[in-house]
This record gives sequence, structure tokens and C-alpha cells, in this order.
Amino acid sequence: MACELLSNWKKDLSILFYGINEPVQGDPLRDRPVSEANASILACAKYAVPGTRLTMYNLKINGRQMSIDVPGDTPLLWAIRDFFNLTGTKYGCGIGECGACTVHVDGRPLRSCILTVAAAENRQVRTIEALADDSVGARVQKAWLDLQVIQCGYCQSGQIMAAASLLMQTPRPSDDQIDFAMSGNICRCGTYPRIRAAIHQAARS
Amino acid sequence: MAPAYISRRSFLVSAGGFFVAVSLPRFAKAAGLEEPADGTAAPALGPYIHIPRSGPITFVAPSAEMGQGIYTAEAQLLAEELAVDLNEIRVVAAPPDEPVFKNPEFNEQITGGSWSLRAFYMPLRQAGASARYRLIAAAARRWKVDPKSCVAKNGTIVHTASGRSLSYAALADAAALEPAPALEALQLTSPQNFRLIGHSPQRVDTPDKANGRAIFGIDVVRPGMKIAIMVSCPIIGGHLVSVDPGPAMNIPGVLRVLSLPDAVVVLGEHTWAAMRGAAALAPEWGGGYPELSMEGIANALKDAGEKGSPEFTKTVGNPTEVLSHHHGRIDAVYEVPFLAHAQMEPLNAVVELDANGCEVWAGTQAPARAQKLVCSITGLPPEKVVIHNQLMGGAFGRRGEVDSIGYAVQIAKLAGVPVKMIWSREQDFRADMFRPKFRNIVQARLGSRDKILGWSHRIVGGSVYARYFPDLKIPDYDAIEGAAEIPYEVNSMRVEYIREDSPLPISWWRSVGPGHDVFVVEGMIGELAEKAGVDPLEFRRRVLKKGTALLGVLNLVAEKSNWGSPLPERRGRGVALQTSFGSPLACVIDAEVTPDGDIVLHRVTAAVDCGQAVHPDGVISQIEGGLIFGLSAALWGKIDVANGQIVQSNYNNYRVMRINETPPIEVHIVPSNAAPQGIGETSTAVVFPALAAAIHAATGVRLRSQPFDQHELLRKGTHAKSSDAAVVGGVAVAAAVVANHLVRKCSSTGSPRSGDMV
Repeated sequence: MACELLSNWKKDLSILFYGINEPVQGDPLRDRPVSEANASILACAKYAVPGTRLTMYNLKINGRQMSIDVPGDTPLLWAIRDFFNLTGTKYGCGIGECGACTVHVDGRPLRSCILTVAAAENRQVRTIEALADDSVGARVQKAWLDLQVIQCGYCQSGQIMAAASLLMQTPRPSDDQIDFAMSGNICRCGTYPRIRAAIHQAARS
Repeated sequence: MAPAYISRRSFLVSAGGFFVAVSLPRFAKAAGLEEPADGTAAPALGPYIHIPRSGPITFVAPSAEMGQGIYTAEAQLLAEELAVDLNEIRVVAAPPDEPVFKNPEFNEQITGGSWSLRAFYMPLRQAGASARYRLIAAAARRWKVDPKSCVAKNGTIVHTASGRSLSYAALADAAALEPAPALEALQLTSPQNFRLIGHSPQRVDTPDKANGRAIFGIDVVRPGMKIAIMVSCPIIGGHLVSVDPGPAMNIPGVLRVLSLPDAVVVLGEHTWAAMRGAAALAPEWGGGYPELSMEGIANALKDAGEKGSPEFTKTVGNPTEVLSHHHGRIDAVYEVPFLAHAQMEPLNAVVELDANGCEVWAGTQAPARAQKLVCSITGLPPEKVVIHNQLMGGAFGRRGEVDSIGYAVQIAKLAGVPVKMIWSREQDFRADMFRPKFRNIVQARLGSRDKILGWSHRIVGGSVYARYFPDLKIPDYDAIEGAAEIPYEVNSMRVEYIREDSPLPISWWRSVGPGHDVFVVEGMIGELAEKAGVDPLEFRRRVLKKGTALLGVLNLVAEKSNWGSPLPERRGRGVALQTSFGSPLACVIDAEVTPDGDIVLHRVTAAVDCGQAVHPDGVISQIEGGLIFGLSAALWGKIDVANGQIVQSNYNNYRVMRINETPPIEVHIVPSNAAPQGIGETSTAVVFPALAAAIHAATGVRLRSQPFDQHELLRKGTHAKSSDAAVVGGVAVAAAVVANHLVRKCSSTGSPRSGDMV
């Protein structure tokens, strides 16, 4: 199937996805057998929250340290959004396919939707909200605005984080290097031509 | 018109002669207008403009922002006439209030159909000019001078003779008491004096989108809010039979398991807890269409195409007689699949519901529709239902439907606490409302090298319109737009629509009717050109109706794409035109097909005549984005159904275009001061036939069904004449499969192939 012919980016970057558990694939409900029984609308039931305690995970995001009490398989994405209240990092697919959740972990661009809090513990995590603290990051953001890259903007936090990371490691990337670094980030508005141009502009500036 | 104020008690606006009372503070809250401490709110100069005593002017935008840049373009119109800069304006989303904020073309408060600038170009300019007149009148009254001796400039009114000036903020209260001038009396800025219209200022919504601070629906946080993860019945049309909440309740952070008629919902303290809870459940589902398959749907369309009776027929001349002759006739079947929207932000909504009212935070193209639905679910009157429209992480028609908001309100009703409902990506695919699948049975007959004698196009597929206008006997434009009116001279023509619904829910999808019909029309024009032995671009010049603006954009794209210049082997150029949305657009795609059947895009050139480009760079963005949206669908877009379930579930099996697959795109805009036309969907519609034509030019293979799969290209081979390789009656008439000879020699696109000559 053509649709399964994915670009190589994931394979090549997989070495960077250290310590992650299996990504949340598909939906377990899909494989359930289905009966033809009559409909019944169930009354909602209230249950007590089980008292199980979990390990505390010590996260450091944009220099702010906080211990959170969640299961170890909690994706870093939801820790960032629900516990640190930083909503610039977006949920797009939950399986590392779209890149909307890209953050920097020890300087590397990782998909926070498939990076667990256990794997991120005690590492330096940077999100889009703190990117301007870095001069390369600020340059990327400026180029994004100068070239009017952004449309709906939902994927752009991830695009900008991926682009900034590319420029931190490769100050003057070629088109091929841009393709390689950015092909993990989907944009449905189709801003790719401008993303490419903005990366070149940020590299020149 | 009476003076319009926002006061603590009520907000009066005059709309078409009717006074509409909107209660504050709900209106003010929804519009993002804070009530000042002194008890009087910002004076309103019409429904769109509020001028506070300090700070930026507030523009209540009637159209919703989903990435298309409409906040900026509409603010430009207002600011142009109000004589202020864009950075002096704050844009907020309009609350649901149909009489005030409806799109006059739809008579409904909805953003879509590429209609925003077409509908609001004059109303918003007039609103800005009207406010300017009233500010001038207030200043002139205060100074006791002739209003004609005053001018508006940079947010102040200046009395030219004396040099006195007053800021808009200082005049706002008095201006609100001045009568609004008659629309005919307004002198609008002439195009040669435009400061903003026709320029491309920094978009108003993007700085916060670049730094992560922009708030989309999914980012809204309310006190005490819990996260609701919803899982719909996977069987199309099915329902929930039972669910054991135990496995979910064992997961820390899960609060409750709720049941809806066709879904289960897990309420959690945080998102991951609710997601894990949802994954742990094993609900029993029932009913629906467990036997449904895409093959079954395709067969139903085929049967309907042969036996069904049209609910729309347009006949010109005598197509039956003309098409009864085989000489010069082409018979073809074109098919397009169900498509998902796959917008980046999955559907979501935040709901606070109590006995006093309901507040909803969600990104929607149709806030008034959302409000009506919430009223019907809760029994609350509209004045107690507030819709806070949010920035949308893509919409593409999906957010014109308000089903997800309805689910969120039902969940909030059961939960008894504020909830944020988030659809997982898998849920978003499963519960999408798809672009319908269509089967097109087409005949066209060539009379000579530049004359089309007869044309017959029978469209078979589901009706989106039927859900909205069940009682209205109007043509289903989602089915026929782009087919019922074609820009070519044809003496005898018949266009029919046979409605054949399937259980799959269907809805609008960026490029609507033309998105599937232009593929067929332009595909057939290309086939006729081949039969005539004429270059497909030159053939269009010959058969286009006289006087159409399409000729201008066709010639422009021919020049800019270097049409006719040599290309390497295995590469070809394809041309296609579209004229819907008011904007004639021509597109040339330069594509290569590798020996493995891979399609490589080398260059896309587009030329458009959209009238006045309000924000030319925004027009280019929309053309670029629309092309890429269409290319994703043309290359890979397809929703399958097996065992009654949607097969695709995420971006790993619903492939969309990535940066490494994106070709260079050039967009050329014909300069114009004519009224602006639609732009957001124009280029998506033209991609499908342009790419199919490029593949044909490169290989000789005529693809008549989407997506343009590489295996199909390989299977069809290339040595056969294109008519032999076509899909006829849903069955591929197999030409020899010569995979190693896939690509025919093609030194120049557009050169006529040795086909049947008339």
C-alpha cells in the first residue's frame, strides 16, 4: 500500500527516541467483536477513584522544576499541557506521526506524545514558550513571521521547534537537510514552501 | 439609525432596520469585551466596531478564523475605511447572533464556501466608513465647524484649518450618539489611495501562533474542568449495548465512565488518565451496518448510475441525438473516493453547564448553528447559551458541522462538572463526516478539432445538501457545482445528479462541489483534446466560451509554466482550469513518473483572477495551501470501509503530503480592482485534473479514479492507448502490464499523442 510507504525520517530518528514505550497505536476497540443486540442506554455510574499511588516524576520544563504524580507511561505531552499548563505544544496524532508535539529534550527535537515522563525525567525540556530565549529560536520565529508562514498555526509550534533544532545543529542546511529534518512534521494548511524559505532566511540572518 | 451603545444592561445594534437586543454581560464576554469598572462599556459604532476610551479598537469579526487569514483581511477592510493601522485593532470572534453577523450570501452565520470576502467586502468597508463619518460628525459638533473641514487620520480627527485634533477614543461616546449616515452617502476610499487593501501587512493572528501563546479550543482551561475522552461506536450507524466500566475505573485518575447512545466517555483528572481509561474499556456495540464495505457502496453507486432517476437534470440542445453517434465520442467513468478532513486539531469543546446557562468554548465555522444545537440539547433559551468561538487548528469544512459540540454538551450534562472533551486522532477519523464518494458516467463527442458537439455528465453520490435542506427542492450544489455550468462551448449538453446515499455520514470538504466535478470536466476536456490531436492547452483556447476570464489566466499560466518547452523523459505537464468561487484559476503541474510508478512533482504554476486581492500574500498562501491539500488527496486520500468500520485511523494510514514531497509552487495574481472573489478553495479543485493530465503527458496513462495510486499506474502499463487503460464501468480494462516500460517517451508535454483522429 502506497499509504504505508512512509518516509525514512522515523527510522533514522528512532535512535533519538530513547527509553520510550510502545506508542499508543490505533484503537483497541476496533478489534472487538460486535453483537447485534438491542440498544440500551446505560445510566452513568460514579466510582471512587482508586487509591493507588504512583511514582513521582521529576520534570524540568523551561527551567521550571515540578514533581508530578502520574503513571510512568504518561506521555510528556500531557504532562506539559495538563500539569505545566503550557498549551503551545500540541496534540495531533499521539503516535509520533505528525510532529505537532515536538519539544527539545536535552537540545534534541523529540515527539513528546511518544516520549514518556519516565524517559524525560531529569532532562532539560524546552517548549515553544521558551524558544525565544535562544537566539537561534528567536531568529526562526522572526523568519516565520517575516515570510508569513503561518496559517491555522496548530502545527507551527512543532514546525518551529524542529526548525530551530535543525539550525542549532546545522547552521546552513541544504534543501535535502531541511527535508530530512522537517519531514516528520505535518501541516494540513500546506505551509511547506514557506517553511523551507523561512529556514533558509533564518540561516542567513 | 439610533445611537448604539453597549451598556451594562443591553447592547442594541441596528441590523437591517431591526433592533436586536443582546444581553450583556454575555455578549461582552463572548466578544472578549471586558466591562470597564465605571459601569459603561466601550461605545459601539455598529455591530463590528467598539472603540474603548483607551487601548485598541475592537473589531468583532463576522467570519471565523481557521487559518485562512480572514481576521486580517476583514480587519484590513475596516481599518482602511476607519483610517487606522492594523496594529490599532484587536480582532475578536463574533458571538452567535445570526441577524447581526450572518453572512448575507448564506443568510446564516457561517464561514465557508470561500464566501467571506465576497460577502463582506462592501459591508465591512461601509462599517468602517460609517464609523469614520460619525467620529468626524462628533468632532465637528464639538468644535462647531463644518464636518467637511475635518479629516480622519491615524486614529484622530483633525480640523485642517485650525490644526485641532481629537483621538477616536476621546470622541467615541459622542460619535455613538451621531446618526449613522445612509450607505449611499458614504464615500469609500478609492483604490489608488488604499493603504491596506491590496497590501500584505503582518497577519493579526500569527505572532501568538509563533510563540505558543495562541489559544485554540483544545487549549482552553476552566476552573474545575475534567477531561472527557470519547470513543464512538466503530460500527457505522451502530450503538452502545453495554460497557463494563471496571477496567477504566481501575486506572488512577479516572473519575467516571459515561455512556451515550453511540459512544462511551471516560472522564479523567487529566488527559492521559482518560485516554488510558478509554483504551481499557471493552464496550459491546450493536446495530448499524456491520456488513458494510466499500465494495458494497461502489456497487450501489454503479447500480444507481444505471437504474436510478435523477433528481436534477439540466438539458441544453439535443444531447440524446448528438450522443447516439459513436463517431468522435468518448465514454468514460470517473470516480472519486470518500475523503477525511484530517485537520491538525482534533475536534474538541469545553463546556460549562448549569441551571443558569451554558458556555461553550470551541472553534466552529458555524457559531449560530452550535448555539441552536446547545439550546435544543439543554432546553435553554439562546440568551443563556454563550459560544466563545476559538481559533481553529484547521477546519476544511469539518468545523461547519457542530456534532462534536453537541456531544460535549451531552457529556457535560451527564458529568455535572465543567468538561473539556477531546477527540483522539483515532476518534476524529472514526467520527469524521466525509467528503462523499462520487461516480461519474460521462460521454462527450468531438465534432471537429475545435468543437465539442455533445456532453453528458451523470453524477452519482450522496447528498450533503439533503441533511440541511430536506424540504427544499433546490439543486444540490455540493453534487453539481463545477459540472452543471462548464466554461466550454457545447451545443448539446445534459448534466444529471442521481442521489445515492450510503450509511457513511458526509459533509462539506474544502473545494466542495468543484473539488470532485472539475476533475471530471477537465479530465474529459483533456481526453477530447487528445482525440482531436490538439495540444490540451491550445484545445482549451479553442473551445472556451467567448469572453471568459479563463482565457487570460490560461495564457498567463502557459507563459509562466513555459508550456510546450522540452522536458526530460518520464516528465509531463498537465493543465486544468476552474471557474468556481468567482475566481478563474489555471494550473499547470509538471510531474514525473518513475519506473517504479512513483509520482514526483517538479513544479506547480497557478494563475488566478480573484478580483481585488485584499491581502495578496494571503491569496498566494491560500493557493499554495489549497494545492497541497488537493495534492494530498489526489496522491493518497481515500477512506475505506471494511466490516462496517472506517479503516483509516491516523496519519500513519491516511497519508498526507510532507515537506519532502512538496514541489515548488508559483502563484500569479492578475491585478484587479474588481470586487474580490473566493480564493480558499479554488486551487484544491484544480489539482486533481491537472495532476492526472501531467501523469498522462508523462506516461500516456489516463487515470480516471482517485487517489492516483502508483500500483494502479504500474498495473495499467503505458503502451496501451489511454482509452484502453481507462477504468470503464468500474473495471480496469487491463492493458498489458509492462512495468519496466511504464513511461513513454515524452520530449514535450502537450504534444499530441497519436490517438484516434476525428
